[in-house]
Amino acid sequence: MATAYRVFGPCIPQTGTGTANAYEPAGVCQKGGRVALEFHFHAIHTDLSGPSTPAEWQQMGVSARISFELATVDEAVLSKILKRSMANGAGAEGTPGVPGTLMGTGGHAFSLYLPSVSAPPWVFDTAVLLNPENVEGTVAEPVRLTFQAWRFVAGNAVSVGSSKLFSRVAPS
Amino acid sequence: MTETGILVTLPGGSRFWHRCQDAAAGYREMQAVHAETGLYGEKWDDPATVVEFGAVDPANQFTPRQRLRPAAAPTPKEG
Repeated sequence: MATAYRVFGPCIPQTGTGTANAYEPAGVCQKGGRVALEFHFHAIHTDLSGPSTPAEWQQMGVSARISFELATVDEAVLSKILKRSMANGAGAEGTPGVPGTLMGTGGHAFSLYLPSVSAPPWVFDTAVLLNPENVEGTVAEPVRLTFQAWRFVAGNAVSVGSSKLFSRVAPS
Repeated sequence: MTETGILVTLPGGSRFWHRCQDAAAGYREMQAVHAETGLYGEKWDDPATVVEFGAVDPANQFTPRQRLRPAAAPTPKEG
């Protein structure tokens, strides 16, 4: 296959925080979105391979961390992201939900969509905000957001079924 | 607080939300954004895509007030 330049295009992340979990733009990124997949492995050690290097390597799932800096922000959407990630979507901003709340089961998690006009998009079905960071001052500063995405499995499920971490196909 | 906007439902069930006060103006904004950025997906022009203007209550329940697309089928004439 021939190689080609790889350009995603302007990144305008959308979160499934709108009515009926509809996607709505959170803002426009300053320098694109960063998608870091996190592969989890479990090492099996044997006396043949010694204690430092594994003899076999087991696949133990994949999660993802998505981060971006929003130069423009929809404050209403940002508020919903904050409240849902604090497990209190209907409550006041700044009031966390009950500790122990299940984020996926409780409907607090949301989908995260990074659309692109020139490359396959990223669609994460289940994500929460991890580390919001605001710099408040005279100079315009982006809002830095980091999300954790995972493959959600419902408590009453007996198999992971069609649950997925992400897809590279635009919503339809 | 109740907010108003346009809810787009693509044939596969995915939804997009655009906050706006006025149905016609909001729809024009969405058309322009879609033309410029491709936002709202490839199925934006699909005849099966449903576009509704309505209001959302604090419990995040959507109540449609006006259907923008597809146009309502004409009532069959009797006789």
